[in-house]
Amino acid sequence: MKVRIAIAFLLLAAACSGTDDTPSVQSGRTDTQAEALPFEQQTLTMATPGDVFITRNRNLLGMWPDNANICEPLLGINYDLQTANVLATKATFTGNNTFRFELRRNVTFHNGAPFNAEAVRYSFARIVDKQLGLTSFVGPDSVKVIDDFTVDITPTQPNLRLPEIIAHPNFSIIAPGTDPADKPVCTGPFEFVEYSPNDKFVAKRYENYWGEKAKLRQLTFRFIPDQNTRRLALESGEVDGVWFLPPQQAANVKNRPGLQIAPTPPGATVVLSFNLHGPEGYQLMQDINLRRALAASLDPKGLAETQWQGTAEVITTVSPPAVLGAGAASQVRSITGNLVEAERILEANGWRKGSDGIREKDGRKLSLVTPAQFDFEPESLQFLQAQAKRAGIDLKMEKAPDGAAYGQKINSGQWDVDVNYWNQNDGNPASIPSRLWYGKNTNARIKFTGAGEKFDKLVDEALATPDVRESARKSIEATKVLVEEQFAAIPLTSFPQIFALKQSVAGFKAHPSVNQQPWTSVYRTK
Amino acid sequence: MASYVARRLAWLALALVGVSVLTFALGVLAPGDPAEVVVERRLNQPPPKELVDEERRRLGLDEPLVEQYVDWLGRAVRGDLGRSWLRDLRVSEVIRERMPRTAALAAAAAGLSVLIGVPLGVLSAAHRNSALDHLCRLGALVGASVPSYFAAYLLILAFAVEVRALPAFGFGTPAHLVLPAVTLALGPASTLARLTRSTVLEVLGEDYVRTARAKGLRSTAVFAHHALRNALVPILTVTGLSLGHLLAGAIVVETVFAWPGLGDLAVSAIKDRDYPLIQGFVLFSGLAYVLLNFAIDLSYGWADPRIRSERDR
Repeated sequence: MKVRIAIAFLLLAAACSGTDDTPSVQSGRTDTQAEALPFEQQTLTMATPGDVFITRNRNLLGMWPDNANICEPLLGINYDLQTANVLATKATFTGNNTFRFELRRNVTFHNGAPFNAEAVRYSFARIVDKQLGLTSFVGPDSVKVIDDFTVDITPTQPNLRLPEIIAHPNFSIIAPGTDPADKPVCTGPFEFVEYSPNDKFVAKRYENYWGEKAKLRQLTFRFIPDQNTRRLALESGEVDGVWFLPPQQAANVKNRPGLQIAPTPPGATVVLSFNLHGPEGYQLMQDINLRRALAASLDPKGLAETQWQGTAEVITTVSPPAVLGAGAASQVRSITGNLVEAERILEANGWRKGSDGIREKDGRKLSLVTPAQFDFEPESLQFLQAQAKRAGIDLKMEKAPDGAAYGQKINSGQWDVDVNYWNQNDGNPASIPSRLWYGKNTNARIKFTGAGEKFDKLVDEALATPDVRESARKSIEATKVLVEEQFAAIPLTSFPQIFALKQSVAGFKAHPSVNQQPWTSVYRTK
Repeated sequence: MASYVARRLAWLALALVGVSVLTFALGVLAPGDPAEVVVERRLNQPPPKELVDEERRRLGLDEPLVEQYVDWLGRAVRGDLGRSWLRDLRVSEVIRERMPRTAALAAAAAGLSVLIGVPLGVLSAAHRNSALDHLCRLGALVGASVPSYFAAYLLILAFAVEVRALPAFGFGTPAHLVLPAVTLALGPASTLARLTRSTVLEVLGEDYVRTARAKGLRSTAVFAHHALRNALVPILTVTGLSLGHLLAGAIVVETVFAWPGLGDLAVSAIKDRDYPLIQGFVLFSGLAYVLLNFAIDLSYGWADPRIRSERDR
């Protein structure tokens, strides 16, 4: 008891704690050979970071970002981040910016109503009305019913990535006449039971599901905003699993009897981007040599293996490699992890180390204003800072208190280097490249990060082809320009998103895109 | 007395207006664009400029600041605190939903702090400079010094994880109330213990106490009827102030224990730049503080007859 209480002191520094015991990167799979519990005892309670249906969007109750598998879209994304059929059995480009979807038959909603084309039309009308699908350019008249099991969808603007974009829980199909904000009635393997704001969300197995029936009888999400309390709730046995365990706690949890961790495969990426067109005083990063030097000074392997205890992977692409297709990762050359090269570049360009170890040139210190996405943990920022400092580069971290302050800082242009992470929420290979560096994106920060015509042209081509494999190829080419040629972005690692579970939870396989996490194969053992 | 009450109520109204102006001004001065936050939440990526502009218009943020404030004030005096930008709920509904939970937690914590702090202080004063006195003072010092989040984790570790006697988080049953209330009571209990000790010691040195003892009254009677009664005024003040603070929402404790009260609401509203909710919360907190102070002022009359007759003049 005394030893355990003493551990309470360690909890205060838990964010910085680490051990030499580095667990290997898990496949994110939990399989045990133990016998399954009887069906009546097949319940799972997961602790999630707060009631996202209040803080995000009540219109996506049970769908996003915490996905209780109650609702399904026409298409989803599989474990390889490739688009897969769900309620649609076929998606065909028919020309004129139109995709034809053939719908799955013999599917019923949780209220017994049949799934058909009219349900798709109703659902998309709601998506448009509630502004849940703005990036798809689907408009009020975009969905046309051809027959009971065929619909055509024509976005209001050219969008040949439509099938990949609608593979997101926002585009879930709901039963006509129902309001998910009140009670989601859909086609998924689980059906809605109860929602108590700020307390819990409960779903039960849907007995007439069209696919493989869930092994769990009941799935419950408990909302616990504090990450340490979530972990303690797991240790006290009040919950069976935790979403988003901080990576610094991974080794500690893994080594505790009765518990296991399941990191997700890469589904989000940590990327440094640069102010390429900054105002007076913020123009250092217009020098490609400085960008090359900073890239070379950073060692993402240290971040993934030491700081994040093996729960992340080194990447060379701004998108998770899987969405770009097999072998994509090897097509983009790594530009990081070469301190000697970093120092050589800086010396060759007149940056000499000062007495404090930071380089100077013509009286100016190599000090780079670095805002970080507001919820990026400070310990990892300090890790990157220490790495850059070895080469004599001062990353002046300015962690914003919240999203609005961070947004304002970035939109003002008064920064040099930005540390950010990006989630791959759908199957669109051009999704992440088109968010931050693509000149035709009209968000406020593009004027500082736009990567130029060559990159834009490749992203145009990635967006303009109806063939998703061709789109992936063009996205890889665009990434090569961004990373290898221009050094306009430095991909570092995947962003660790870790589940912690009781050892008695089996059949769980962590999905790289956490908002697509399936629960059908999960079951409880003795 | 009636004119005293009327004067205090007038000051209350002025105080609330002042608080609302301050909050509005701080919101305007804070960095960041709330319209961008709202749209970015919806899209889950940096939003296009045209959508942000549209949202700014929808939220009325493109109107002149004075007009925005006057609009809000006009509705607030009619009980309409507007709608939360992110939650799409009426602010008054959100506050009404959470207030009872915070009230329950605050009342439990306040009760505990009085039940622990006052007797400890009296005990400490009665056995001045003894081992018991030193122990009580050390306990009060530790209680006042330990950060609430640390105390919270320690209690969860001991009682939820190790002993498994109490739940680590959540709300709904009396068992859920125990750990958060104890955590919240630690600070005020320690303050009360120290204040009670010093006030009682001061009173024990007064002539009327010496007279009471000389007349042969027992110690308990001296403490109860003379010392404690005269020490009550500062104790009431501190209790009232701490209750006001508790009612406004114990932010850290509510977050750690996943207790969805006003403090937890304040944290998420501030993070989200949900100004209607922030304004509503601040207004409610201001009202709670001012009303409680008013109640404490009135209670002085009960505690000290000299104050009562002064007011009746």
